[in-house]
Amino acid sequence: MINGLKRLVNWIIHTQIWLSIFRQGWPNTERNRILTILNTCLFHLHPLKVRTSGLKVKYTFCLGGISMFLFIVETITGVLLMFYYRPTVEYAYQDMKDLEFAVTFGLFLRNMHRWAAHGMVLTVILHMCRVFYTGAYKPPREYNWCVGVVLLVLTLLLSFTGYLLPWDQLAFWAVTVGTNMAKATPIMGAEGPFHILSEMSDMCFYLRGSVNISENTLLRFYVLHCIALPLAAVVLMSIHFWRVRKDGGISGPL
Amino acid sequence: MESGDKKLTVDIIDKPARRGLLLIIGWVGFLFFSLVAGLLTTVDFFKPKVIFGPSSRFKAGFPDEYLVGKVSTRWMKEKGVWIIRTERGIYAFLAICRHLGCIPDWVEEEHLFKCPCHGSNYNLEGDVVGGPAPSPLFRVVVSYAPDGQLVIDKSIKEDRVGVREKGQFFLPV
Ligand code: HEM
Ligand code: HEM
Ligand code: FES
Repeated sequence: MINGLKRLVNWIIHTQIWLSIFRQGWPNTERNRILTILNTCLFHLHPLKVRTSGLKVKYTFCLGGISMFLFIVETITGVLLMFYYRPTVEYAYQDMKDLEFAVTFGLFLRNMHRWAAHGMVLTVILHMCRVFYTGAYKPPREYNWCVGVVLLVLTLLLSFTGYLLPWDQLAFWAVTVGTNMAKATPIMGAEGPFHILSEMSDMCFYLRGSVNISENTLLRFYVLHCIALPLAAVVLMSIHFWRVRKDGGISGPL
Repeated sequence: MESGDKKLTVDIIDKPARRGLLLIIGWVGFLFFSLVAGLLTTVDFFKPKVIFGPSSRFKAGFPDEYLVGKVSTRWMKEKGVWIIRTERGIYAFLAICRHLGCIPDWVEEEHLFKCPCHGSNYNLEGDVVGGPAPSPLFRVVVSYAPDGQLVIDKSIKEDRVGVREKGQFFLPV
């Protein structure tokens, strides 16, 4: 019995399929472990060696990693929501109701998307605090801090654009108030200091795609929320992670 | 012979230099204008050219349908305006809070327009008597149609003291 199992395993790990996926042997020697990391797409994102100080949970609290994890949760639940959500004035609210009452696990999906969104805003801010308190923003990591700031802004914009999508009273008035603030922008806002643009061409108009919140606004926010902003976030996160390694790995204790 | 030789040398050195300058000017100009044109086109792309929505002018019935001393909420839901009749005439407010754009409520008992979002209060003149709003409610144009009905035009609005109580913003009855 045991022998049969061993023979089976031996046969499996010598098939062409197995060998084409895992190009190195079992990771039980130093050499094979290194090769495993180098040859595996997901593993190679990690450095071959990390400082033990960087592994201490209390140094990073894993906050960057948790932010990344929550973003992945957002992407998966978000894409699933997109199968049932139509961004039009006629259907948006109705589709939210259908998601809650008719779609299998729809309510769970919505709640997961919402809680992960709140969670991500929280962990990104805490991650920024961690980086600040460990002094990890100092050279050579100042560039990565700036990439991080853009990531923070993207996270907040994702939350803001997502907020309109349910198209209920809360969403409508929250975004009315939120976009109205753009009118107070200096020069570019219709009511701001030194304004030069009219209500039909100021920042607020570009945000809304009309004078008031409308079909245009819903579509705009939907495209931004589901395509433009997540794409930008993915690109910047790639740069962010790449830079963590190029800057010499996680910073050491002060 | 000698002088001719000299001239030839000068020409050869001179020409490429001048051509180089022209090339630089050409390229810089070309890149600059493509950049500006590209930028302006992109900005313009995001500005909708046609906006669909209800007309901002509408007929609001006959003046007699409005009671003296009352704020009428008859057109609130459909058109977002209050029509107010005093002893002297009729004026209309745009029902948009001047703080950040919510819709205030007319509260008859307190004789105030009260905004649910952050608590701005306006009196019957449209002036702010409480809350964060920085300016008074907008008044809009009130006039007569040929058949004697009121016509409200929301596209022209006014909030300046001294201008908002007169002319097209106030219809004597
Ligand atoms: C950092 C990432 C994201 C944040 C912070 C975020 C935030 C939000 C929020 C706050 C809502 C309103 C949820 C509700 O009221 O139930 C929402 C809705 C939605 N999001 Fe996201 N989102 C993110 C990523 C994504 C991604 C990557 C996609 C798709 C590719 C997506 C697709 C959607 C859709 C279709 C809705 C409407 C359905 C609904 O409201 O339940 N989201 N998002
Ligand atoms: C979507 C948002 C973000 C994600 C997914 C993310 C992810 C990460 C991850 C996984 C790390 C590795 C170390 C750790 O987990 O702490 C890291 C490091 C770092 N992050 Fe972020 N981050 C985000 C936002 C930010 C923000 C807002 C800032 C600062 C304004 C920032 C600045 C940095 C810096 C300077 C490092 C290097 C830290 C060190 O070497 O100790 N990041 N980030
Ligand atoms: S929008 Fe009316 S008080 Fe803020």
